Amino acid sequence: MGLLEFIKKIEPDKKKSPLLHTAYDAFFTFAYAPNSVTKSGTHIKDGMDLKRLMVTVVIAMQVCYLFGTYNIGHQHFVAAGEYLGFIEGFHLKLAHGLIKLLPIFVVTHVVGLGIEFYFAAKKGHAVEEGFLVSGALIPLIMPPDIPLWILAFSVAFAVIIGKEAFGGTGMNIWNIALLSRVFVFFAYPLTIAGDQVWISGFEKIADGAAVNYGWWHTGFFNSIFETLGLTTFDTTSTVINGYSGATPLALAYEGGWEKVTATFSESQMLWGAIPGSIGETSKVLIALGALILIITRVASWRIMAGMIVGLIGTTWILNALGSTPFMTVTWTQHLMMGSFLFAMAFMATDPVTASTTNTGKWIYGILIGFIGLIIRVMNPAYPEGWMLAILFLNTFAPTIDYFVIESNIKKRLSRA
Amino acid sequence: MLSGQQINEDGFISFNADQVTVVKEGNDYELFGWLLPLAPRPSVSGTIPSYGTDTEFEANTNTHGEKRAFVVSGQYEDLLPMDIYPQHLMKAIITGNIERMEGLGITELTEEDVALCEFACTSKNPLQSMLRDGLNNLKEQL
Repeated sequence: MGLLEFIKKIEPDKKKSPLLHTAYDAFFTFAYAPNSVTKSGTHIKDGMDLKRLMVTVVIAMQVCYLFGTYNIGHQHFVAAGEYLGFIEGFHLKLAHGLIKLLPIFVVTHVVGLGIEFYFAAKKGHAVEEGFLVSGALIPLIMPPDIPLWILAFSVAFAVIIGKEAFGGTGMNIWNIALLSRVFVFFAYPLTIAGDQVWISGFEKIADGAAVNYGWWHTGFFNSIFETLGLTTFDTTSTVINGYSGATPLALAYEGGWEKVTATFSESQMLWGAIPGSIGETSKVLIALGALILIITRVASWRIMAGMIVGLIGTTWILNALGSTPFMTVTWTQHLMMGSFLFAMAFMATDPVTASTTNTGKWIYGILIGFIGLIIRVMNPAYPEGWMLAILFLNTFAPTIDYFVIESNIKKRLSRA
Repeated sequence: MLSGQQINEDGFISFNADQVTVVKEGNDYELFGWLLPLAPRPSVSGTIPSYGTDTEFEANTNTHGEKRAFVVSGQYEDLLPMDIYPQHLMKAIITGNIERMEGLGITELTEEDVALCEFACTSKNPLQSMLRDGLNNLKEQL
């Protein structure tokens, strides 16, 4: 084919410019599956490979991306008191969401992939696909207004110290996307904690605060909308009186389920028209993504089932004790709030950082459910516990595996 | 096609050989071969659709991906009917940990047993030759 010959001709030399060669190789294997053939062992290999695995997870997340982008805009306009219906102002909400999401997406991938390319060039091997999933997950767990330099630092931290220092794809102990979020959480806590951060586009979330529109809103999109005859971004909008950007979890902590349902309806929480991280709000769409992953056998159903069992068991215990309003929330209500479903479907099931034995996966899932819920309900400092619970269990996953393997070894030695 | 020697067109067949298989050499590049819904090919994965029971598979020697570190877990255990954890066994072989290899059951296996695991391996690891290296290592040490 003409295109293939041309691409092969411009291949940079491996010795003279390793970085360029690595970048070329990464894009080449992205476009074309390599032509290596088997020499020994099994002569026919399975059609599945690591790129396909990663891309299946990314595809399962795409509905969350679409909804999350739109929801950024929706929350912005609800705070201003305009376009309260979900579909009203469709073009404005989508434009605002894209203006907020695309820079985050681009910065994550440029920083992360740049670091991966550099390390692959230094080590002399191909760029490995581990960052496809992490790079798709990181924008979904960040607040929409995060300063881009903080995002770049957190991605650099997660990839360099969390992954490359341990040996690259398949060797990391902790989940990379969660490491980036935990870096922001502890190093720049004001950008990610509290009620103000989940609504984007205002100077601050207080009565009468002004909107913060840049050139993309007023120059680019407004000119397009004017020529099409649609409504435009209004630079005089302000936050309506009495609006707090409280998420359902913050409300539940103060007053239990009654306080949550006073502000948000159950169908709102289920479908996701609530403030929160970009990707975690729509429970139905996340469940759809989880179903895709289970049906294609890409993610382990045991970890997901274990987390739900842990959640249910711990909620029953807390309901029985019932000393604070938050402890009386039932497990179905817990499923509808916060990022439990997102953590279950995409974060905990990462095969590299989870336990590798089947028994170990059950124990891993149940412990995440237990610890995450305790942090969510009992701890006043952290609003949501899944990030910390999953990182904690990532540290202990090899230990869980060790004990499962040891029992296998003992069983074998006893029958020898 | 789980194991066997590769012989060139002008090569010789040994005295013990009793089966010759001819497989198409898959040494061409496939545009987005890892992404799109594909022509039917043999796979244990759920992401590659099977087009019903009557379709003919196109099996060639393309490795469909480069060698990577162990990422997917639980894949080998599903395909090996014995009470062995193959992934941990392979890691013990790579590190040369003799006691752990024995404890995990290397003496119960031969290359044919892990051939199906090697076929299905997402990271394209050469499990059969790893096992052979491990068994040789064990024999030398004892």
